Amino acid sequence: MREDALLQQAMSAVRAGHELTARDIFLDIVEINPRNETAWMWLTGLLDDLDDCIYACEQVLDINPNNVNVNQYLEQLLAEKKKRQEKQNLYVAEQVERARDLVKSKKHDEALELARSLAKSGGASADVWRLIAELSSDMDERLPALENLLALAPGDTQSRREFERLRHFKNNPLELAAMYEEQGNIEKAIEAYGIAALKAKSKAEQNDIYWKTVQIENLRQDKIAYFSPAVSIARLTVGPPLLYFMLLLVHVGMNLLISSDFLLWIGFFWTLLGGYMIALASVRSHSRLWSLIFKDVSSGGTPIARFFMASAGWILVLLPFVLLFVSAFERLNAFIFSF
Amino acid sequence: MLPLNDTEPNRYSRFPYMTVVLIAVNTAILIWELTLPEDALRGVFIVFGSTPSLLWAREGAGIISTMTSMFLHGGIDHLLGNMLFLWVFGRRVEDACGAWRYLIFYLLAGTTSDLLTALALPRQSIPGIGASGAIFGVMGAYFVLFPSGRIRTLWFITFIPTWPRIRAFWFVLYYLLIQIPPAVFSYMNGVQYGTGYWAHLGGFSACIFIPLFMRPEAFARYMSDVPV
Repeated sequence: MREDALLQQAMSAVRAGHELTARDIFLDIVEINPRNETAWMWLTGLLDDLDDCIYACEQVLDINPNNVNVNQYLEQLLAEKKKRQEKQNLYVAEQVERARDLVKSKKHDEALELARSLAKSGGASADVWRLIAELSSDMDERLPALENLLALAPGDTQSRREFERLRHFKNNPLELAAMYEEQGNIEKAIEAYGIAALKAKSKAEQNDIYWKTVQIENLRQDKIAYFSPAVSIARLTVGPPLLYFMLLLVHVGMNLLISSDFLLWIGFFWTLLGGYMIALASVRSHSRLWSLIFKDVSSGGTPIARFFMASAGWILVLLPFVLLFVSAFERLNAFIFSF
Repeated sequence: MLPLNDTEPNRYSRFPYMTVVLIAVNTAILIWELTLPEDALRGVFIVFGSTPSLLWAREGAGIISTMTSMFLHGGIDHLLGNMLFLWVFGRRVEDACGAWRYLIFYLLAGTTSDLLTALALPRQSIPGIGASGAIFGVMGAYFVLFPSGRIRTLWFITFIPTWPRIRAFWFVLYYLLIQIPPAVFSYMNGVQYGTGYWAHLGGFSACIFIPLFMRPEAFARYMSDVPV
């Protein structure tokens, strides 16, 4: 009974030109009885949002599939929606292209702002989320961006890997702090160490984090220049092969041209490779090697992965030295026999 | 003029393990040397000391003698002098490099000291022994990294001892400069001294490689022109 009265009331409101009041009453009716075809039909014309209108049409057709007029109206609405969607896609694509151009001209902040506004407008494509994930330095923004990106493009393995890596950092703030430190982002590193200190499991861990924070705060105070891990790795790689080369010079009596043993020269490259591996294990850096060889989600190298990398590096470094010393022992024997 | 200690604290590590290990190994080898009869000891020096003429002829122990000669000493006074310098200057250099890189640098300095001696005095037939070449390398590294560091130094003014704190720059420079005249004289006249002046200069020259062995933090501080 009440439903009929409300229906009459809503129709009177429409006739009187009170469309908003009528819409609210029709919405009340479909709430009381979701199978009221008349109310849904009126709503198809009274709702503002295109998607809401489509929904109302679908409800009418669900109740009465033979309603030809509504069927035609739904087709019109769907065509309109498609048109709008294409227009929106075109606009987003243009804006993404513009943002990419801004990135190319090193205007990262502007590009990020543009991507953010696209995301806020609700028309974000996978490319928009990708842009935000690439450009933002805020983990709380990057993680949901990657999540949205993966919802739209589930096959994007690179983004999935990055998402897992960030989620790993989110759960391990100490590693995150170390990564920021490695990137020379002292402010973020101190912030992350603060979060890590709150999550510390023991007093000793808290103390370690405290000292680490003091250390990097000193770096900031002293205005210490930032050197990327690549520079440190390159620098520290040189030590062992340099020593090997000097010893080789002694071994061949300063005459590099008469070295009879080709293997000894190959050794120089072995020490170079070994030196690189030791340097990689000793300097905190993000490398694809960690995820490729050790399946490390963070790509920063776990302590165990570093231990294995350093051990392998030392073996590679020591092998040519051993060969050199074996060769020297043969000469020493001959020298002792000559006495 | 003898160094007594370096008055600055460590920045990165708590204890200079590798410096202590090097001192212990040198001491242990000297104790072993002292147990040998004189003839045997002479044989050890000939075989395991570094002789430039043998190096050029590609005879003798080659790199084995390069490595072993820097752990052999001619007596207790020789060892004590060298180890005092190693302790005073090695502690902070090890702190700036880390133990293993410091060891590689130490061995590299010993090798460059041998190489320069061989280049300057190719006909020298006296075997060179002692850690002083490598220790001069460590002093050179100290000179590069901590020129404003203060070294407490024992002086005797007539017979009265004093121990002022001297700037490392001047201290090391003094020791470097007093090597040059006898080194040049031995080069010009072929005189063979009992002290390896060229070995000292050669070891010192290894200090140009010290940036390759520094910890990343220490290197960043050094390049930013703040105390390492």
